[in-house]
Amino acid sequence: MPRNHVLPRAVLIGLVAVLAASAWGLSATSSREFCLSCHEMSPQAEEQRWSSHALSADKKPVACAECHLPPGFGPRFVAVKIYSGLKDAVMHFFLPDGSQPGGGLIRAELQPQARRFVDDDNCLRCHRDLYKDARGEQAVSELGKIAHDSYLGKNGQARSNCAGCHRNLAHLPVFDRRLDANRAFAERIRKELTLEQARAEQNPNEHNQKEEALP
Amino acid sequence: MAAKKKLLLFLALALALVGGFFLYISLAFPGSRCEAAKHPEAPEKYSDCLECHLKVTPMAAQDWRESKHGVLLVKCAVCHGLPDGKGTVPFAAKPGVREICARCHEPAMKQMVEKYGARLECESCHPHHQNPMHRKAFEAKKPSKTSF
Repeated sequence: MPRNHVLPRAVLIGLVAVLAASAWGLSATSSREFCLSCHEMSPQAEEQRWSSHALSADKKPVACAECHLPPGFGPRFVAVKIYSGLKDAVMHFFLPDGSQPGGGLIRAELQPQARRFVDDDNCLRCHRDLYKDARGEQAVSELGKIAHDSYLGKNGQARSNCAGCHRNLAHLPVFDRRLDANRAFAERIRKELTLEQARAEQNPNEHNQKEEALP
Repeated sequence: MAAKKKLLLFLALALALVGGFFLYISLAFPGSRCEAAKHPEAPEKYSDCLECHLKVTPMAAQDWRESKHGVLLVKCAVCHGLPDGKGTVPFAAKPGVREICARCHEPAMKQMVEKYGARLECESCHPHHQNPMHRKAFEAKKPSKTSF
């Protein structure tokens, strides 16, 4: 084989290998298990268990990426993967006092950042009818109907995306538990924490099984 | 000389790539939607905030109506100013505690500071729009029973 044919082939094979590896890497690092492998994510995971977004309408566990990453494998998805991957790595390895769950992170400052990357398309994948709940059974409240009218441009024009109004859907930091809109969610967390504490006091060995119960 | 030029070119390319990446991120995922960052210009409607905000922010409008501020008709512009900046206070979605709340509530704020120390974030205990008429200011609001 002439030498000038070897190089292009090697480059092509290399390119295909790199693309395949990055495709595998991108999907492998978007799994729930991967997200939760960092201790910083444990409060969020714990709160999600008692949220309205623990399970989807067809009773499947909702993965982090279903809300927090843009859908598909387009430039938006890749850009967010690179950006949040770099940010998470820097925060994980260089943030002081990151030994506790939640690390040295201030959640009130993280919230706007997290909301930036929740695409409306992600919400609309399950909430197809904005005048009913995700199961398509119960109608939304009167205020919800007015707000969604304006979101859809039928009555006024909403200038906010989903996450602009709908907050604390899957995670609820302590400082947001006082808010009226979060009362049911906060009550569930409080109840479950007391139950768990009681169980831990009765049987200290059972405490470690909590991790396995994650959906 | 050629090597230096190549290195410069490479550095410029790398810089452009990184800069372009962050530019894309900030444009494709704005912190707040571009169109929401600025109030629409409709001077003929500036005197009646509620007319539009009943539709675009129904929760805030309803909460305000049921609150002490609403019952006493302390209208939007008193705290939030006017979109063209011609109101008596600056136009802001989140009015400052020192500048705005203190204009009326300074005596009460002084008392609170004396009792509990300075904590200049009224909103966390006294939600401006949810401050109910017949209960303690810091109690949670019950689900709404009235409607427009």
